[in-house]
Order: sequence, then structure tokens, then C-alpha cells
Amino acid sequence: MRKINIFAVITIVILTLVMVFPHEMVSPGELYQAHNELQNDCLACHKPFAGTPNENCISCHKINEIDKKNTVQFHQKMQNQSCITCHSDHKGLNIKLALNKFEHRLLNENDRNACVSCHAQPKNQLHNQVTTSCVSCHTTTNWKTIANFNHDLVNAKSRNNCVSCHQVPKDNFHNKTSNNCLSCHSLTKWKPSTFNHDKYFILDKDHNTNCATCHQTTDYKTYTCYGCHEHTLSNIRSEHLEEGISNFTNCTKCHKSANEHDIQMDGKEALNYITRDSNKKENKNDDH
Amino acid sequence: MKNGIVIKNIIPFLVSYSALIFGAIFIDVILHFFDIVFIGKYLGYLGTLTILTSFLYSLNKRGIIKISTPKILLDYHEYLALSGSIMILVHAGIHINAILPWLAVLMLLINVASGLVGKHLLAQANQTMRERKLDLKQSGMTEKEVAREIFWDTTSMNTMKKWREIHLPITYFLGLLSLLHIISVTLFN
Repeated sequence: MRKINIFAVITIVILTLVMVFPHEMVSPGELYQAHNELQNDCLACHKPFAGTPNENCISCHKINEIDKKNTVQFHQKMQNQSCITCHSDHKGLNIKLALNKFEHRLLNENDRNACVSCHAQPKNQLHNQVTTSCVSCHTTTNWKTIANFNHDLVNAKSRNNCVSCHQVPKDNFHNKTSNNCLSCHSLTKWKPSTFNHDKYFILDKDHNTNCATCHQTTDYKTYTCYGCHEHTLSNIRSEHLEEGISNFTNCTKCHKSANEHDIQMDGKEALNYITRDSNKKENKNDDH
Repeated sequence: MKNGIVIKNIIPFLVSYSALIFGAIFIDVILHFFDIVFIGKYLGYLGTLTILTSFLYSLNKRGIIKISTPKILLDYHEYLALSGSIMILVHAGIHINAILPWLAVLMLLINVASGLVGKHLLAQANQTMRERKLDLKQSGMTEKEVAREIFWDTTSMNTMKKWREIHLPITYFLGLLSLLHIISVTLFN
């Protein structure tokens, strides 16, 4: 009997609390300011055992009127969704707190794939040159993170004109190159470049060294072969003078590899070059 | 003596109780980290079902059903009630909403604490019984005499009975609050 009394008291206390203070006991939070008058009228929005049907929202908020001030008729596109998916309410007086994070998956497939039906295409040089298939680069969760940019999306004319989007690197090496970036770099990767040093000098095992050993400034057109003990100025001078060669400032003009007998120059140009007075000041090795 | 109680009883109780709460917080953090908070909603359903399943022990004990031995069912009762409670705690999260579900969570925590106390009392009763049995045997009693003597030793049984008188209303309180929460959510979802 005593046991039954305890259970009865508990039941009566709880049920009384729920009936006397239904709002405090059951409501998950305050409605936002404009809905204040509905604070104690739960059934204005909720339908017992049937959730919160859109009809109850639309009875006050007409879809055409919602989008009246908007450039994009956004809510028209969302008619297949429940209003409370985005507008949850019961989060306090500030309307912003009642707005859930928008997710693109809520849109129908056509609108989801047609970004420009809601978003304006950015007005910059890059976006002027690409197709309207935004999802090829961007995702619906993050605009700024580029998922899979592919140069094929750029129109053919701009695709081969890298500087229409990219800036030429401001180092001395690139200052002196042409705008034909594709001769060294590829469309899939900027680094490593496909620059072929062998065209100027073959880097064999004896010349497999740091760039700075030969290129002692950031201007890669200049170099020196006197950076290692093998090629001292006095040795080179005596060997070349012996052959009647007075100009030996630009080694790669004749030597394209470590093989000193592999001289690659046509006769007339070679003669003009090697007999030029090497004492004349040459600022740069003019071939590199 | 005092130190013995702290080390043997209070500290293990606090460790188990804290582990339950921190376990729930940890799972909640994981759900937020991986942006899968929606799982918390379903943990409410699963937790409720798990706790309801744990009541098979209570039904068996009262002879309403007969499915297994009380010892095995008691183990399941403890395990299922604890894991179900963790799920419900994750489901509740730390969101301050209506009072009713908060009261339910509060009663859940009190119920778990009561359950842990019961578990400790039962372990202590078994230990006392074993020691008493040994004493009686050493005093020269036969097996039959020992059994008769222990049967009349109701101290441990009384303690458990008293504990049950508190544990049951707490469980009922929790059940009632949970039921009202489920009804209100279903009604106004």
C-alpha cells in the first residue's frame, strides 16, 4: 500500500507540473520575436502526431511574397522541402538563431547542378574564360576550396596563354623568359618544370651539383665554370691560348658536356667568337 | 577504517560514475567533430530500447517471464542499463531546452548512481555471506547446519530490500518522465 502511494504521488506531481506549466515543461525554447504571439499556441504550427506541416507556415507566409524582395526566387525552388528543415525556431528571439545551415542537397537535381540559377558568375578574368560548369572546380560545401581544377575547362585560346590568369614569377630567371610557359611547365603541374638543361649543358655525374655552384646569382642566364677546382682560370687560359683561342668567357658556347672534345659550333661562328678579345668586358654569358 | 571505505567503496563508485559521464561527453565531441550530430537523435531511440531490454531481469525476477538464470540476467541488466544510459546522455547533449527532458536526464543520472550503489551492496552482501559461511564451518557446523544458519541470516537480504525500495521509485520516476518526453516529442515534432 505504501509503495503504491509513492508511485501515485510521483505520477500526480509530474502530471500536475506538465499541465500547470506546459510551456516550461515541454517547449524546447522561445520562439523568435515575430512569432511571439504564437508562444502559447503550439497548434498554430504543430499538427498533433504529424509534425509541422508546410501548410501551417504558408497560411501566413505566402511563397510569392517571401521572394518578393529577392533577386532569385529561391523559395520557389524549395517547395518540395519542409520549411522547418531550414527555419527551425524555438531558438530564441533573434531570427538568425532559428535559421539552420543551408545545404545544397535540399535542392532538386536540376537546380543543384545549375549554380548560375541562384549564384551570379564571378566577374573576373578567370571566370570569364571558363565554362559555366562550376561543379567541375567548386563543391557545394565550400566555394573557396577548389576540388578538381582542370585546364580543359578553360577555352582553347586562354588555355595556351597562361599569363591571362597566372602572373609571371618575379625572379630573374623568369624575367628573361618568353611567355611560352608550356615549353617548360605542364597544365597539370607547375612543379617540376620540364626545363631541359641538356640543351645548354649536360649535367653528367661530375656536374651533378647544386645550381648555385655554377649560377652564383639569381640570374640564371649567368654562370661560371670557375666555381670548382677542376677549372681554374689559369689552366683554362693556358689550354685555350695554346689552341689560339683568346675568348673563353662563355664556355657553353662551345662545350655542351663534360667531354672537352665535343665542340658544338659551326666553323664561322666559332672562329668569330673564339678569336674575339676576351678582355672585352662581357656582362653575361649570352647563351643561357 | 575510514580510509578503507574511501578506497574500497567511494573511489570505485566515483570512477565508474565519472567514466559514464566522460564517456558520453567524449562520444558527443566525436559526433560534433565529424559533423554527424544527427546520430544523437537515433541514440535516444536505441538507448531507450536498450534500457527497456535490461528490464527482462526485473520481469524474470518477479516471475512474470522465465528466460534465464537471475545471475546472467543481472549481468545483462547492469551492462544494458549502463550502455543505454550513455546513449541517452549523448542524445540529451548539453542543450538547454525544455524542463521535462532535463528532469528525465537528471533522474537517469540518479538512477545510474542508485544502480551502482546496488551493485556495490550486492557485492558486499555476497562477500559477507561467504565470510559468515567460512566462520560457521570453522566452528564445527555441518554443511546442513551452516545452510540453515545462513538462511536465517537476513541482514544482507534486508539491506538489498531497503535499497530496492528506493531504486524502484527512482526507476518509475525516470520511466514516467521519459514517457512524457516521448509523447510530447511525438505530438509536437
